[in-house]
Amino acid sequence: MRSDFDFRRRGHVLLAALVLALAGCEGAQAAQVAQTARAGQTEPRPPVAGVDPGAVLAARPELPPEKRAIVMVGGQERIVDAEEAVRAGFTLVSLREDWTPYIFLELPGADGRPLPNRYRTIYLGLATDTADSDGQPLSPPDSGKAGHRSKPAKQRLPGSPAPHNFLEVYGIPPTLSVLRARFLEDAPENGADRCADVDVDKILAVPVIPTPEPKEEKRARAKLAALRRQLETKRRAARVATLDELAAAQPKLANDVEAVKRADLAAPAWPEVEKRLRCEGLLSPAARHTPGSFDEPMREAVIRFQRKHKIYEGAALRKQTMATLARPLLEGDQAALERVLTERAVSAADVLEDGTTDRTVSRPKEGEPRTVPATYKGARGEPAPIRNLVEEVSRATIEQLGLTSPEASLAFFRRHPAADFQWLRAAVKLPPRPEYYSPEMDLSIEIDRGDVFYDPPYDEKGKHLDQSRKHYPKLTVRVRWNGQLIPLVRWRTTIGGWRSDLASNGYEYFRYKGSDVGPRAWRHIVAGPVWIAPTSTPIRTLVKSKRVNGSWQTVVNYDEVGPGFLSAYGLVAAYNVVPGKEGKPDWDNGIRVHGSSEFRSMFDPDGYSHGCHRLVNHLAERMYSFILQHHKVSVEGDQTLGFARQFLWKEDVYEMRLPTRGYRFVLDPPIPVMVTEGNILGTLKKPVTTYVLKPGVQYPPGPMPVPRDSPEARAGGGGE
Amino acid sequence: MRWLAPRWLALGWLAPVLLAVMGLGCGCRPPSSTRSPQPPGRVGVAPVAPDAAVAVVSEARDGGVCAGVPPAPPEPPPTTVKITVRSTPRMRVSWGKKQFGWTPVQITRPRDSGPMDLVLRADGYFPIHTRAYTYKNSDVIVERPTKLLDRMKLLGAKQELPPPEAGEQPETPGGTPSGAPSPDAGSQPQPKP
Repeated sequence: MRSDFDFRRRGHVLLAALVLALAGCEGAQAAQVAQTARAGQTEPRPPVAGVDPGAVLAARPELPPEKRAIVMVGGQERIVDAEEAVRAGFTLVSLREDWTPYIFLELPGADGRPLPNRYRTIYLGLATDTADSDGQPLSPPDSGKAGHRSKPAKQRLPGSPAPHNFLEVYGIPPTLSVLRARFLEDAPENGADRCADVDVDKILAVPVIPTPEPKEEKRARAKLAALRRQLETKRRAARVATLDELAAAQPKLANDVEAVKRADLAAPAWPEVEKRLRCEGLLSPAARHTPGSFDEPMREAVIRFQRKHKIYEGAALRKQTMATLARPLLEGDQAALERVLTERAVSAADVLEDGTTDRTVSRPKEGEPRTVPATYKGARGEPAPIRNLVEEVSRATIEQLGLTSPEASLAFFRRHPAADFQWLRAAVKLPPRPEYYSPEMDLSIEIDRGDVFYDPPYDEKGKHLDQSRKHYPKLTVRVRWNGQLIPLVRWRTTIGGWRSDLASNGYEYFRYKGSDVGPRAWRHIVAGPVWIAPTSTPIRTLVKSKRVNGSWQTVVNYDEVGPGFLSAYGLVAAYNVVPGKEGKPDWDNGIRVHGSSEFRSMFDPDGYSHGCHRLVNHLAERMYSFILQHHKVSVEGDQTLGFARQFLWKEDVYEMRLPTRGYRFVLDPPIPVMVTEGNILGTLKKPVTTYVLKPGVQYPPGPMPVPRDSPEARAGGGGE
Repeated sequence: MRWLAPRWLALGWLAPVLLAVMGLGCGCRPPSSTRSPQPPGRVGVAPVAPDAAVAVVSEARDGGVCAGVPPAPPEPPPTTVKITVRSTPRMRVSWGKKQFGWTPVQITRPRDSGPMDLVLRADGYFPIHTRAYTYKNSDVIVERPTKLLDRMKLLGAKQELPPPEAGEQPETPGGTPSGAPSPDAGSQPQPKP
């Protein structure tokens, strides 16, 4: 899986290993070999462009599977020696079932022995569709959040959806064997797609279908009917033939006319959407769904569809969901394959840049791109673009494997049985990495808070205030090279805002959960982190219903705590601290930079956190995997915790027991982080430190409680 | 001179043996640690996942100088784990529909068969929902069940509202309360010096 970058000094490595063998020091050997291997390694990858794999790599079909890699030569797959391919400048891209991001590998600790990573097993079970988030055999789906059982695990009914974890949006892509099954299932039989009877044109005719909640549906229909009647009356009064003419004559009615037209287009599209969800196996024929209604079965089917196709939209029939519904099944599978290969290629190539630092062209001329790459000064002072390496390595992998069309991918999966994905690796020629790459990169993080409002979100009458932001918070990973700071990626993140907080009297108030400003540092990165909910966390969020050994009961919501993809800290986190000086300990204000399953908070205009800086899980995995491979790191492994806390919910006490806090890496030196203040908007220029009453809540008499002032209470980060 | 040569020779055979021992015992990694060459930029960090890159060191492991070293197979863990549940006072333990009886209770479960969400009940006390893990033998000890009368000692217990007729405070409209300190009084939490 590692790139050729890992192997170009194998001579050094072997020499160092020999010297160390003779010195006879097993314990520290790994570190010393690595140190020796790292010394002075800065040159980029060997240039490989234009090399014909057929000319340099002989066919070696006799090799045992673990030594093989595949290349495409003249449109035919050839089995070659993986080591030889690496020596020839190829990078091995894993197509295996046991692939995980770097953060979930089991890495050696100080004594050179591998430290088990408990979440790795869960991750692999989820990725291979064989286990749920408890590591238990997968049940049929019954919830919008796949892999997250919130309803009884039923026996699979004939015709009901197959058990799948659709977890790409949570940072766990499916494995190649899962995709293989999808391709084979979706392959046209006798030339006909099983969704061929879906009238795609009707779906494409309407970009968005309104999906009112079932309880609102009746009212929404009545409202639309009334609007239609009113417009007809006005049309007759205006003596025009159509509603379009009415809108042209009376522009103030244009929006109403548009709403009626949208509804007219949606009516014929709706049955096609249902048909599509059924034929894709996401809306069970056995489900109690009322045709034409956005009821619970339909809502769950839409959510599963969105998760399957990695759509970051809310549970509704919005633009991207509708466009994907209109796509043939195999095209959806091809898109999934390309996403999966992208993560594998990025991991193998050990790159991060994804084009998010490109600058927007304010007024592009026709035919010109809307963005242009940012630049840095090359070694000779010449301007060089910051390349989109993610796209480059992804494209190279897909093209060199010949998986550029659904048909080609289907053929690939037909010639490889599922068992092949226990060993399959592809040898791919990747473009050289930029000159600023090195084993130890001088990385730093900048978090711009963007537009910030300290004012409460409601006025004194309980009316919601408009706090629109133009500039959203952004996280930038930078490398200092040749006297300049080069931005590698710039992603939307979150800052804190007004959140519900549990006070000492058991009632919830609003409290401003800020993201503090100034220089910070990351000393630790934790894979599969555990969030120790602070005592100010509203209790209602700490419990959930679960089927337990044949009966329903309320349990502690360990999904929220982690480790897991639904953890408040996502799949990986770093801890913002002010490093202690002169023997003083670090100061931790409870702010973390972490992956998150609450992806809407990173896309919605009103998305806020409890103070932490959230990232979409797969980007967090990429970023931390990259940092760990380009920084001096030691591995501490699984951190035993032994934490327990009791709380009351309704008439029962719940004891939260946390045996681990996650798999910890220590960064030495720490990674510097700068959190900039951003633009303070609104009337208040400093955050409110008291509670604020929530509209519509009846509180007990007496003075309002004073908020706890511990770091974990100020922010949502909680303890380690 | 006659006696010197045999003594030297007698010691000489030790040299290759020592070198061999050093080479086998220290120079080669145990097969369980199927490490790849250290990627640049990583100190003591070498992936051991099967998916890791082709291991250069594995040449030795797979048939080189280390081939003769018998791998030390890790001791397979027991297939079951024992979970002991204790409490003071004694409480009834259940796991879904399954009743285990009164504490102390010992439960045997398949290893890594997923967490068990247990409920402990006793008259006069709040039921306690707790969790046992099955990745290793463990004790679940509930030392402080809460008496029903001690409700307000629990995190999350709500202060009771006055009866409606006595309630002076209507539902709040929201926003900053009049009695609250001025927002300007608050400040961004500062790092400790």
